[in-house]
Amino acid sequence: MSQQKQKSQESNPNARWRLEGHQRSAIACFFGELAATAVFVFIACMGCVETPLFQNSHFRSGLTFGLAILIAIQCFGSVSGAHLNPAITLAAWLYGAIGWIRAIAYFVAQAAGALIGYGLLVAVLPGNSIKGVDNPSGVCVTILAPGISVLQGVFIEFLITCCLVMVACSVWDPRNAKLQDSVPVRFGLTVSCLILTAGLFTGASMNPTRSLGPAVWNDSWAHHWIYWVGPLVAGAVTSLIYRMAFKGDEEIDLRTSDAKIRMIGEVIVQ
Amino acid sequence: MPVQQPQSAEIGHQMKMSSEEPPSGKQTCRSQSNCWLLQRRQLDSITTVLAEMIATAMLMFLGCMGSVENSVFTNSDFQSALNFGFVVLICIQCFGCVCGAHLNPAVTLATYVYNMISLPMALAYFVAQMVGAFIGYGLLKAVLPESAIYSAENPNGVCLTSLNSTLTPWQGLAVEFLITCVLISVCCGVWDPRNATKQDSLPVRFGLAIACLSLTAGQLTGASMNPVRSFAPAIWNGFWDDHWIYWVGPMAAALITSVIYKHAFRRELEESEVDETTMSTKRTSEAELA
Repeated sequence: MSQQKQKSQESNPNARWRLEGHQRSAIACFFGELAATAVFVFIACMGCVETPLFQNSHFRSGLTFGLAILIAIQCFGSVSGAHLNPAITLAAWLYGAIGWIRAIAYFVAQAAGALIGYGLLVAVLPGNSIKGVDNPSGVCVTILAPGISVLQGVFIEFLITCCLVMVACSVWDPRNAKLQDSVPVRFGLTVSCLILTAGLFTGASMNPTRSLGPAVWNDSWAHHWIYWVGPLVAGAVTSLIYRMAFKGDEEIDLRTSDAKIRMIGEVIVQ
Repeated sequence: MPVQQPQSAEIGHQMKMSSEEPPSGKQTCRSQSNCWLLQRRQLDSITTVLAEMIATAMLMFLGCMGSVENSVFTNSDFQSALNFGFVVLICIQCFGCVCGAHLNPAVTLATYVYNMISLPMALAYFVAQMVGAFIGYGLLKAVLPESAIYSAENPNGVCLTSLNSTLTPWQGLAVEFLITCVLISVCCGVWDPRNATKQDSLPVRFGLAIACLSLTAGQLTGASMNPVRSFAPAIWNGFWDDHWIYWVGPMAAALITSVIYKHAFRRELEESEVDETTMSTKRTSEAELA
């Protein structure tokens, strides 16, 4: 009896420690994702501010957005993966990179983070920087450009989000498991490119929560639905296609050039 | 030699294993294995070519969308050139590990010269690139208004490569040839066996290299460096002025540069170099201990 009691007492601390460790990791993921999204929205949207007093340009804000992504991924990439985007989270779930419970938690964290990030912006800048002559709907609110129909807008958001999700899927590809150092730079420049490409037409949101933050704070909801439909559908479609058609099986060993020699050999055999 | 011996030993070992199997089992396993491998290889080839097509479509769609300029959508040479470099980054990141993401018949030709691809596969890549570029530009025309495709700044169509009015065709040819030489040199540097283990930031390096070349020659010839990239807008808009220089320049540059690099600069990885790598690691650890 006394021996049994001692055993049970000894095992308890370990079990508690393990459980706490697991819980701590899950909590860190959630708050990491929340903080990452807040940082991203705050820096990126501040970089979009344009008034007669604070000059700006489409090019500068596009580049700022991409570099904001770089910062967020560099800070929290190893904590939570720094998805920052429900479309990426959806793609990760369908790709098999995360489970659905975690996916839902990420979504909540991203929505909350976007609201907090934009709220910080509203708190620290003067009122006419948020809404003014240059930004009647509010700074960083994504809107359709004149001349672009709603259907074209959805299609543009869909296609550019396809490109973004393909970048994410290739990063998760087993063959790229050892090539992770410069992921923040690659993602950052990718987002810069996509915003420079399509920013003038639809705002190049590619991210429902990124559009949600400014929309809630400024009560600007024109065509808001296309920034949910386009990206999420693209996230689902692209991840499934990439998974079935392009996903690699094994990690390529780069320690020697044998891998390359083998590849050449196989090609020649063909 | 020492590196190769273990491989041959493994092969011998496998042969012994197969010979020890019973006759019926042997035949069954062999035929099944061969069938499976053949199907898998064929499927991989199809996937590879499909990936190359999608990658080229992405290049055209995103690159040309980033070049749109009219009274409503502002732009600049700097922005569109940098954007093109970033587009290449995206394409290489997405499909670099699938098909190599050549995006360019000139690069494919250089790959063939470098013995990294077979002739049938090279031809398949070329067709995939042509089809992909055509689809990409077509997609752009489908999602943008007419005023974005044709404008005062782009009367013949957005993203058409054309000579600056101050250049003669032969000067344009020389420019395209020289900048494509630089591009192919970057490719050959990447493929060199000594760089086999340095692949992490490849997309960034390629993207910024393309951005640099686009910024350099964009206002002179459009900095095409890529026959299919010029072919798609030309065929969609029916504009063929000086189109030949965008085929002759890049392809000639690819052939000449890859042959020179292959015979003059390429080196195999030697045992001593591997030891040097190990030595540097040891020195680092010793320094840390001290």
